[in-house]
Amino acid sequence: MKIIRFTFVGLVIELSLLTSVLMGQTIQEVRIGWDAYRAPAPQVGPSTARPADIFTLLARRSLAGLLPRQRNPQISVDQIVILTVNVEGTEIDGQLIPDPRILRAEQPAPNGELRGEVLQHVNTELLITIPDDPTIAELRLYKPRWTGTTFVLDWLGAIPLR
Amino acid sequence: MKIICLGFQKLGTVTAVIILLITLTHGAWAEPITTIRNNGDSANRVDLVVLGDGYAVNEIAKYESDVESFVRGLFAQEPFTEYQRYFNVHRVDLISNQPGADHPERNPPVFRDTALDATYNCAGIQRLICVNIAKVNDVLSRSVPADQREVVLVLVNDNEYGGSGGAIAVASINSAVVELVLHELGHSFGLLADEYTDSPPSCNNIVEPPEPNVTKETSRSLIKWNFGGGSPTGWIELSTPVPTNSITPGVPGLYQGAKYCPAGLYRPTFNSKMRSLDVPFEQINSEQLVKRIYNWASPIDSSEPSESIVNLVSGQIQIFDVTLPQPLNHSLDVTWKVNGDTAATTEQFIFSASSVGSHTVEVFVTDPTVLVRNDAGGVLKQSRRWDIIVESARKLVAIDIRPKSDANKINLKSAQSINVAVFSINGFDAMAVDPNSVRFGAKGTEAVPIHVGRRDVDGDGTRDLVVRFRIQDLGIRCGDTSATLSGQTFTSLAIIGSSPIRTVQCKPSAPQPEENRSVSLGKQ
Repeated sequence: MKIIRFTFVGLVIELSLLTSVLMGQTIQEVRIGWDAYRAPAPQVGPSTARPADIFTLLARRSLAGLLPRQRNPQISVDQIVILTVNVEGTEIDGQLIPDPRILRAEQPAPNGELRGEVLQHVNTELLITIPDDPTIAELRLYKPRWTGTTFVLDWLGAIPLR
Repeated sequence: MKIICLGFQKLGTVTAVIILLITLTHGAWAEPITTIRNNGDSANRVDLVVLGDGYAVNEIAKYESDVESFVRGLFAQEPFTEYQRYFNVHRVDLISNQPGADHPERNPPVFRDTALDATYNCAGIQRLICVNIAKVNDVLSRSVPADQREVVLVLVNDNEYGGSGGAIAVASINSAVVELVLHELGHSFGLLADEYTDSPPSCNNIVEPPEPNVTKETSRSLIKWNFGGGSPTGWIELSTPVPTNSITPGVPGLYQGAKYCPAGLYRPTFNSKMRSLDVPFEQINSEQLVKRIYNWASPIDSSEPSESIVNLVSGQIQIFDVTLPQPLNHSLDVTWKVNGDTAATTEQFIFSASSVGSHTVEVFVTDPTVLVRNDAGGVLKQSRRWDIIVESARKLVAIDIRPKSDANKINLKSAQSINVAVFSINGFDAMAVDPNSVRFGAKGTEAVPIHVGRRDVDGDGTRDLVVRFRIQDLGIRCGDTSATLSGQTFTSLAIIGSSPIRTVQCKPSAPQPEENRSVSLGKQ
């Protein structure tokens, strides 16, 4: 269900949400703070800083809408894998999102080629949507690592949602 | 918010809904959002959302113009030109207290109070613009639906060249920055590697890179963009040497130097937008970008009928229909198949139910674009199948429940039976009905006959069929208002007939003086 949008959150949006709730077309939006590195600077070269990977649940809400769905997700080292796990430990949703730590600084060099650096934010956020399922227990976060032949998932952390 | 959500798990649905509404009324004001490219339902489009930073309240018209120019610039480059109708673009009108962006590198430093805190000289790199991610997420969360944020771009109201890539693309309004944003979309949207050789980042030519546009493989048939060893599924023509030393643009081959390594890694073309700005993406990167577009958008927007099982009567027609996204200069291929045989190649197909039995109708949609040669994931294809059940056409016949009574009352508690007459009338010969095929009841499928007679019930000089059923077999419930008889003739013509009924003895305590009479077999 599409939400009718107005300049401010008003009655129509609420009625739309109510309708969607009753029709079961709701999702949860989860916002997570991520202290990625033990470093004072706002951005770092990742090889120069010690990882911290402290996750904090900043906000969680139900809202009308549909989960974005990818037809053929491709994994990449520039992404984060997020698994939604229920109270029984079953994975009920998985998604790939761009790694919010990455900050690409690229510009043309005098020879016309690009040059640049890949920095990382020391502190960042994840804004994700997950199924609106009351049995959800936690989110599990992984970082894909390429071995030369396959991707392996390195553990980043878990965010309890109960 | 957290407290409210915890409360959810212990509350009923109605209470939870009320809490949701209360929570929303406490929500912040959402920014106005305008869809400036509306090419279809966001569920089947790539949605790009643009947030402006450093636009004061009197600069909204300028902001609208800047966004329009920027979006035109993005879609002026292939493959985004050809597939621009696969994108929606939403503009969030975000007002800043002051125009421009921070320039801490200037003397004296310049600081602006803007909505997203855009600042040049981020991490000490003059052209690198950073924004406040928390503030961006504030705007996205309160103003942009979750399925309309696949690509997020912050447009900064400053003419100085600058920007950054990552989960959120940032660009100044300097027109040259469009090229940089396209390159960054190559990373974040296309999952493409850099093809330039300057380091840092560090060179790693020890292992095969995962990205589709960089390889260390030098064997022609094993190069990832030369699947099958060459045309039609691979990109390197047999006449092109491997490795390739040509400097001709747009010739796929194996060019030394890529991903921060001057040697040991190879790129697919001499130059591309993943190596330099102001050049095309070229074939291999464009192929990947098209496949990534199809990661979010199916080649079928919608199809009708929505039900996957379609019941038809012989002689009936059914219209099948697909709605497709529209590339700019070519069309998607559509093939309809009935029972595996090609039946049509148009977007609409009319199925004629000429043959009784089960059938399948399938539609296959494929993007035949020349931009993609190897679609290993099958994302340029989509199909849908319907199961069709065709029943023979039914002849409507006249029936009479309790032929000797005007009142079609049925006592559902009765252990007795009931007669139903099928009339020979209007050219229909009830003697042609196969009694073994006859069923009677609430739906016409329930009771089997316990006795069959043939006599002239209506006195028209022709014999009618009189079939008797047990009342307890009829499947009729209190309050039902009609009953149906079905069956077929000895020549397999299906017949059906219905008649009104009135159920009685539904209330145990209520006296039903007429009931005994109505169930009397003696009057039949």
